[in-house]
Amino acid sequence: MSSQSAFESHVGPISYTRSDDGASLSFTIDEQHLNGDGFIHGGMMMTLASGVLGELARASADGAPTAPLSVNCDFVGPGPKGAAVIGTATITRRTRTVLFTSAELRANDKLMMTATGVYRIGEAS
Amino acid sequence: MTASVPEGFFAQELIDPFEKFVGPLFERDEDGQRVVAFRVDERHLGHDGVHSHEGQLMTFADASMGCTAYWDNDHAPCATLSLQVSFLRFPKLGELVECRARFTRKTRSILFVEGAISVGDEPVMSATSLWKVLGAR
Repeated sequence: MSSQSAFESHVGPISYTRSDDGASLSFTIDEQHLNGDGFIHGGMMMTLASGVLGELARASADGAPTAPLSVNCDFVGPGPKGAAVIGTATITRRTRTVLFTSAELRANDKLMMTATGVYRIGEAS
Repeated sequence: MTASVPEGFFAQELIDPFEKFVGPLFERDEDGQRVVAFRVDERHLGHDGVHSHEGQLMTFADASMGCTAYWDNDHAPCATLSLQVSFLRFPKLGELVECRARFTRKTRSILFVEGAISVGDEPVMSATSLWKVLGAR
């Protein structure tokens, strides 16, 4: 387990797990995470997606610094208040300097978001 | 959370609980172009403790492009279908981040919105998004 950022602590709690073939998260949708319609806000969804992708990137970089270059999110379905969210992320391809990743989020087992992220490995040059 | 309103801006009246939780958001008019802004504070920081977390930056992109999708489309309710961002440079603690958004295309049921996010004159993020106008077909 790595320590969490101030932003993830503020909007959390988010619980991350690393495994040999990826990273995952669990999270429960609460009042402060909602949009005006009573469902999880798109920003919170993307925070979870980029959170699990970033956790995967850090786990895969052998201690080198990582940073997202691009993140793409598709809003596939809604997440109601109280729903249990599970997120999983896997590596699509890794080169020496770049990591291609993919994630999905499910709320009460229903697909909520699919996302991909491209991460830099190593310092910016 | 109280934060001083940057000169020339007003504080947006936020409705979504999550935007209130990570806000405030500010707005000003620049010759007809809506400019939405937030200032990076301690709550927004990523793992290095210096720069904004990407989740906050994408939340800001969604909220500010959403202002264009809603306010500049006759207040028709809409929802994000897809959002893409490239991170050019991560904004630091204390910096004021601005978004200028515009429609690239509008159909009756789908809106294409592009956002240019900057700190001062420097671009820090580019974003594109796709919105569904609710109830329209």
